[in-house]
Amino acid sequence: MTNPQVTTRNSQTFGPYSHLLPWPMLLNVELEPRSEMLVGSATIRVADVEFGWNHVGLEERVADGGIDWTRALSVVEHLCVSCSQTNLLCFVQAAEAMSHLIVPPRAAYLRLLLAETERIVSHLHSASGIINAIGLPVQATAMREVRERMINAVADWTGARQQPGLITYGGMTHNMDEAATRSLSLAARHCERALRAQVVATINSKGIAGRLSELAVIKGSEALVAGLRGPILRASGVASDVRASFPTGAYEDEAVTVIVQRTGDAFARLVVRLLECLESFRVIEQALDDLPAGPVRARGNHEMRTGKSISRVEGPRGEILCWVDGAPEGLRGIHLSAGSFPTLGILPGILRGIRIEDLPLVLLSLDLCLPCAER
Amino acid sequence: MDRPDNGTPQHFDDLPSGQELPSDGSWQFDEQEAGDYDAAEDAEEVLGNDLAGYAFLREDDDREVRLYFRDAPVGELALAFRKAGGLLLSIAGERALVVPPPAPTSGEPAQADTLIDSQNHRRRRHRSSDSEAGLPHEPARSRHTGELTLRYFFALEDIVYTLIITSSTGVIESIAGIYPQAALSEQEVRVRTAAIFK
Repeated sequence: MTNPQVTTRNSQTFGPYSHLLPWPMLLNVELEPRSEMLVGSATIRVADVEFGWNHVGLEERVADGGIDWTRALSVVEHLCVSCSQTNLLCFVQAAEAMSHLIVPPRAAYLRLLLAETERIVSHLHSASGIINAIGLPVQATAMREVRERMINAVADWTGARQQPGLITYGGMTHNMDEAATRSLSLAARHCERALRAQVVATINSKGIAGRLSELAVIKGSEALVAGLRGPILRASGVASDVRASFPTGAYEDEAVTVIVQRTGDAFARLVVRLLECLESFRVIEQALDDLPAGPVRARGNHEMRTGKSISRVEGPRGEILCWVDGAPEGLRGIHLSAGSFPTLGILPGILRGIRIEDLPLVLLSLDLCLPCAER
Repeated sequence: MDRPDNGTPQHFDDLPSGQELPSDGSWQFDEQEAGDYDAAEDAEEVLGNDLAGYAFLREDDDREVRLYFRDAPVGELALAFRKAGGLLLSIAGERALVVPPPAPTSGEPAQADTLIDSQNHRRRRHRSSDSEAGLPHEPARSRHTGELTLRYFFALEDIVYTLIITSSTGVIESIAGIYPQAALSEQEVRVRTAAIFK
């Protein structure tokens, strides 16, 4: 095992477990020769990143004999905490398309609520981490409080703070009663009001903007060539969002505004995530107003058929693609391409030229999710 | 819109707005003015023709088109998608499962399904290791050593094209020169399946 930080003459190794890295990874950086003497201003000349510490072997596990459909739900949902509901939604939608299962409208809306609350929770986790890393713990704590209130509001409905296991083939396992609907609506309204003031303060903060502007800039053309997805792509000026472009489920009825920034730097990525939180609150309130009555799972046979299918869902970190190969006995093959995966390819290029003290900020602004990316 | 190959419109309604039909019948369809109202259909058609030269099976689903190939030039296929404005979503790969021939036993029905067979195989192996406890056993080897199959997922508008390409040699053309983001996916597939990207 490599030491957390090994320093040689002109290079440094971080990880795989280091407080500077948001996830376990091995980062070898070579510093600029001249800047070596100046403490705190060393610039990265070459960066090399190794992954593999978060690999869970989802695809290999399924390919090696298959797993039954009930177990598959749990395996996909527990792949990652912060993208669990969108990963599961993408997988379930692919399985439903394969088996021609019909999802009741109320279930589709409840799925949307889970996906949007997950987006808020994930984005606020990322934003509060960046603001804390800048050195503004009070503002970061205020943001975490909003996140916590939203988690608790969803937990009142689902009975679990995370990975509630509600999404299933053909609908949902549990319905949402009137009290839970009112409670979530009230919480969303309060959280949105509290967050709006914080977002305005953050965007207008010269300290935050000064620290993050022009940091790790990704141009729109570069983002497209690299195949980036989600908030990183939208922060580079590309309006790409599966919820708006190719809506499925309740997104076909609930319009989503795509948030775009042009500069492509760390500040733009922060702004996109914060504004997307506000947009998600709006979508949640709208969906709760439009929530249709009825069952959340169609009666009848939910038996799976033999076949293959795909699904695309916009997760907190970008588009998720899921391909499934199934039979009535169980899942025989799966491929899950998460939003963070393409970002891994450009990481060495982004880190080139940045100062070593900016490293945590850059990594946090990219909001990687390695368990999803490495699967 | 129905129009013949020379681009002449069939109906008066097909004319671009603000243009009147000349009385001598010498009207020429101006592709530039017509804009790209049917560019997407054209791109799909051209792409379909390019792919049809190599694919041996096509399955159309709701929002997915699956095309099956065998030892096809991946570079040319990727280039066709690039020209049509397609996006590369992901690449996945797998080796076929090689199931060892079952030991001749009397009275045991043959398992046709791979899934069930592999589960039985796992159980058999487990029992075997229990009975031979304490003995040095052979390290677990991957049984996925068969033919290489790669899946390329391209998106063209709301349709996802899944290209299923089987390679008998395990050597596949790299498309990283056409889609740079493919480099990472190819690296992942190489590690998992021992595929060779040239």
